[in-house]
Amino acid sequence: MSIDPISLMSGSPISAPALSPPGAKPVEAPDFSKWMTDEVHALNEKIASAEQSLSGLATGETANLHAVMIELENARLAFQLALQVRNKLLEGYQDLMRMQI
Amino acid sequence: MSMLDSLSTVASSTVHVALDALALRQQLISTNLANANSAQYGSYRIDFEQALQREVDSSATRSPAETLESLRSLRGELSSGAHIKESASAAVEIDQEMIRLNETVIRYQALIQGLGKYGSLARMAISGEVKP
Amino acid sequence: MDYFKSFAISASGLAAEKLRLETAALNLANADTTAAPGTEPYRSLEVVGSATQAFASFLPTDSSETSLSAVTATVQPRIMPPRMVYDPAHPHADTNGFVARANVDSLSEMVTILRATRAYEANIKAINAAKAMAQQALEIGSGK
Repeated sequence: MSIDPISLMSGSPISAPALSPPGAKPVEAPDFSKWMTDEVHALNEKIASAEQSLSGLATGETANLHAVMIELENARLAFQLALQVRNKLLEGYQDLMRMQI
Repeated sequence: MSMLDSLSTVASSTVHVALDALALRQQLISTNLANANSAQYGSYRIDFEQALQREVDSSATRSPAETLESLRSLRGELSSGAHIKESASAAVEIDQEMIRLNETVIRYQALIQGLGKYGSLARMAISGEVKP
Repeated sequence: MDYFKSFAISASGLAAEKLRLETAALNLANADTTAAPGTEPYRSLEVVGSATQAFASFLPTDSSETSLSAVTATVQPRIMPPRMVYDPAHPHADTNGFVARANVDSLSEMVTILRATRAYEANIKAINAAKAMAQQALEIGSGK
């Protein structure tokens, strides 16, 4: 009886399993400043369109009174939200600056 | 150019013109109603919507300062009676005048409310507080 | 809501009922008139109202040219034969002793007046409802 010598295993060496399914794009870390800029632009759009509706009301467009009121209210709420976000961020920053190292 | 100029926007000035004109309209309607039974009385009307619409449309191609100036002169025209018409053929119909009165009141209220909400945005921005 | 359109619709209703009332009053005023032989006696008038357009044509908001009238009322003489009453002593009696009287049925004119008044009031209620709704719309966001 002959014993075969152990030969080098052919084939691919042990590789780390892929962490994401093949074909998936690499995920970016979310960019906060980009998100913030986008939100501010969206808010600006909302306010501009509310301004236009108000102008329309002044020149006699009576087609949708409640729609104009809702648009104005939405713009106000959106602004309140943005302002609150800004205040919280400022608060956080100030807390950070007060920390003693 | 003071910093206070930035507080009047084209939208708020447009509303201001409309409020002036609507107040005038209410007075004309009252005059018409008072003369409901007068002989040879021609109903008064005021027509400002088209002139205001023209201003709003041309504001897209002009600078805000020009538009504000133009709106200011429109307000002057209105208060001097430039857009008031007297139609000699139209006798006063009380119910039609009452309907126009109702419309005028609702529009006036709507513009005051709208201006209030619009102004609260500036108030919040100025105070930095969420409760204006 | 489009309170302007709402008001215009009710305005056309008010105008129609007012016309109806005025016509009935005119008929009543002429109810007892007679005509000399050879002339036309007073012909009773009626107001015929008809819908100006189907409601669907009020819906598109882009057409500012839509006439905002819901009802059109026209005055026309009633299709009724003239009333001949036998009264030989009357100054307007003809050779047979008949007098041509106005063909006005006072009772039905009174009923028409009542109906027109009620319909007028109903249109006013519709206007008030539109006004109340618009004012409610103005309270959006006041949160009281």
